[in-house]
Amino acid sequence: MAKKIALLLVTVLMLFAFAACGGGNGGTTDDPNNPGGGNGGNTDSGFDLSVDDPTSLSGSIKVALPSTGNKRAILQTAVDAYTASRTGVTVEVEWKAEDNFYNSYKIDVSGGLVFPDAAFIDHVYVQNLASLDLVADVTSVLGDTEDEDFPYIDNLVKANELDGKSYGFPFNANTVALFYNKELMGDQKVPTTYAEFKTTAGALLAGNPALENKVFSLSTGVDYRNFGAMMFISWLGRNGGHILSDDLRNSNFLSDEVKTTLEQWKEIIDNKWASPSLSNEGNFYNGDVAMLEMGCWKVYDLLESPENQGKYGVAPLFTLKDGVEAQSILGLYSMCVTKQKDMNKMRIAADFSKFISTHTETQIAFAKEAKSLPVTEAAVQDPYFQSENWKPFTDALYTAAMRPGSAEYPTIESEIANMYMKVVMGTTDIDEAMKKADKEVQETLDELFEG
Amino acid sequence: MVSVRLSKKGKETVRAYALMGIPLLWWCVFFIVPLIMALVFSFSDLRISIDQISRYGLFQYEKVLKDDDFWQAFSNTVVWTLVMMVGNNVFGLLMAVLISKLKHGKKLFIGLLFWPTLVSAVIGSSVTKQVMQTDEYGLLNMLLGAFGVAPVAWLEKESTALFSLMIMPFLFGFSIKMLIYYSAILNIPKQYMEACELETDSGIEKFVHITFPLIRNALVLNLLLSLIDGLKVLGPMQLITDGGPDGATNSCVLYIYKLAFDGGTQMGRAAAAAFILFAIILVVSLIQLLITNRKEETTYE
Repeated sequence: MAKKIALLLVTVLMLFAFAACGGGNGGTTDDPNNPGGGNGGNTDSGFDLSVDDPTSLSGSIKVALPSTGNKRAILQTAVDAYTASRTGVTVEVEWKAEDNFYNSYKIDVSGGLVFPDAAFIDHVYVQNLASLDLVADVTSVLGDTEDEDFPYIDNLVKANELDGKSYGFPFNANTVALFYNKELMGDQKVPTTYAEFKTTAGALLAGNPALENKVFSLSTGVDYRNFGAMMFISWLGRNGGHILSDDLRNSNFLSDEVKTTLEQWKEIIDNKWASPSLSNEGNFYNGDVAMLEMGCWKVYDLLESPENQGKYGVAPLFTLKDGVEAQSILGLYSMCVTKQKDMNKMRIAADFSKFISTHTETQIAFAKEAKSLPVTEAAVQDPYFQSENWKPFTDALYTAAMRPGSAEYPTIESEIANMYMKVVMGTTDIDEAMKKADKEVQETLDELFEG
Repeated sequence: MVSVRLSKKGKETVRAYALMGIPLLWWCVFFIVPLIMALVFSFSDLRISIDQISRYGLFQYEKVLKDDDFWQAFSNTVVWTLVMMVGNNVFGLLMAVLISKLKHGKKLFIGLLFWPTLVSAVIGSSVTKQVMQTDEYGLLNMLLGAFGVAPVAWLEKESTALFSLMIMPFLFGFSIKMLIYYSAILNIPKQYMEACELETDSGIEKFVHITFPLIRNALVLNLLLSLIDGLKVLGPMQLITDGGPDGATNSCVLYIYKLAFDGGTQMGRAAAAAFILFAIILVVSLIQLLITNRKEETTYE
C-alpha cells in the first residue's frame, strides 16, 4: 500500500512539474496577438494603445480601485461619467479595501486567469511590474510632456518610466514639507537652508535644554525603517544624489552624496538635535519637538483641526546644497494597464485610466478625501491646494524625488535603513556602513539583471 | 444495465471512502496541490508570473544556502527556539507542579496564568514595543531610570534586539505547556506517590523519581510543540522590528515571507527556502522523537 501511495505521489508530482514547465516563457513571437511574449501585447519597440475616437470604443473591462472612506463614492461618480461618455463600454469595478494592493494585484496577475484590466498601484512597484512585462506601455495614450496641453505635472510622469516608456497614469500624490511648533520655535527663523537649520537648532537647544534630542525628528527607530529610507532618499536628492544609477542597474551607495547625507544625519545626532534611536514624530504631535518633516496627510490634524488652530506652521523643506532645489520624497499612486493578449481591453483600460486620472472634479475630490494631492496641472490650481497650508506640498510636486522602482526596492530600502541606523547609533563608521550597503545592493542588482 | 453486487465489506469500504472524500478533497486542494506546486516552483526562477519561468534546476537552493542572510536568520531562529523551549517548559513545569501542590485556588491560578494566551500576537507585540521602547519613554527604561541607569536602545542595537523580543514570550509563553504538564501530573496514580512517601519526605526526590518519569510523554509533546513553534516564529520579528537592525532579529519564516511578499518578487527562492526549513524541522523532529522513543523503551524495560 505504501508503495502504491508513493508511486501515486511521484506521478502527481511529475504531472505538476510537466504542467509547470509547459507554462514557461508565456507567449511566442509567432503569436500575432502577442508579439512580445510575456503576458502578451507589447513589443520591445512599443505599441500604440491610443484610439482616434475614444467614444467609439466598445467592450467591457474590469478595474481594481480603492474603496476606503468616501473614495468609493468619488470613484463611482468618475466611472459613471466615463461610461456615460463611452456608451459602448461597460466597467466592472473590483473595490479593494486598501489603498496599496500591489500584493493582491501581483497575485492576480501571476495567476494569469482572472485579473483586473487596470489597477491602482504605488509607483515604486510600477517600474518593477514593467520590467517583469506585466503592465502595458501606455506612452502613446499618456501624451507628450512637451505638448502644451499635457495634463499631468511632468515630474510625476517620470516616476512610472522605464527605458523611456511610461507604464502608468499618475493618479494621486503626496509630498513632505517642514512642520514646526510655533511656540517652541519662538523668534527663531524657520530654516530654508541646512546652514540656517543648524543655526536655528543650535539656538533652540541653547535656549531650552528640554529640547535635547527633540529639536528635530529623524526617522530613526525600528518603526521607521520604511519611512526612514524614503526620507533618506529625499535628503540624498537635496544633496544632488540618487541611490541608484538612472538605469537602475548600479548602486550609488558609495557616492559622495550618500556620504554627505550620512554626515549630516550624524551631525544632527551628535549635536543632540534629534534622537538616534527614536523617531520624534509622536513627540512632535505631543508638542514636545520643534520641527518635523512630514507628509501632507498630516495637514488636517496639525493645521486645520479646531484643536490645533494656530499651534503649528508649515514651510517648504530646507535645501541642503547650493544649487540643488529642495526635494520632497514623492508618494504616488498610478493607474496601470495589465498586459494581456486582448488589445481592445488594453485600449479601453488605458482610455479609462487616462479619463479618471485627468477628470478634474475626481482629482480634487479624491485628493481631499485621501488628504493628498492631485496630479494634474488643472486640479492643483484649485484654491484649496494653493492655500497657505497646502502650497508647500503642492509646490513640492514639481521637484519631488522618487524612489527607484527596482524589483529589488525592498532590499534597497532595508539596506538604506541598516546603513543610516548603524551610523546614527554609532556602531559603525560611515565608510564601513556605506561599503556594506553597497555590496549587498550591488550583488542583488547584479543577480536581478543577470536573470 | 450491469449491476455490481458488493459484499458487506465492500459496501463499508465504499462508504468509508465516500465519507473521507470531502476532507481528502479539501486537504488535496488546499494543502497537497500548493505543496507540490511550491516544490516545483522551488526549482524554478519564478519571480511573479508563472508565464515567465525560464529555467529549472537546483540554483535557488544553492542561492539560499549560500546567502548569509539566510544563515543569520537561521541562527536567530535556533537561538529563539532553544531559549523558548527551555524557558517555556521550565516555567510551565514549575507552575504546574506548584499549582498541583496547592490545596485551594488551583483553578484561579490556572486561569490567571493562562490569561496571557488570550492576548493576540499583535497586541502582545505592541505591548512588547511599549515596554522595550527606546529612550525614556519605554517602561523598562523608566524602571531602569529610577535606579539611575541611562536609557538603552533595546530594539535598535544589534546586540540587544533579539534578546528584547524574547523577554515577553519567555516570561508569558508557558501557559499551554503548563496546562499540559498540569493534566499529566493529575493523571499520576496516587498510589505511586504514596509508596514514595514511605521512602522519603523530600519533594525533590519525589519529583525526580515519580513525577518527572510519569509526565515524560507530556514533556516530549511540549518539547516537540516548542520546537515547531520556535522554528516557525514570525510575529514578534515582523510586528516589532521587521527583522532589523541589520537582520539581527530576522527569522527563517520572515526571511521567506520577505522574499515572496512584502514587496518581494522572489517566489521561487522563497519556495526553496521554505523547503529547506521544512527539511530542517522534519529532521530535527525525527531526531527528537527517535531519542525520546529510545529512552521510553529503556525506561519501560
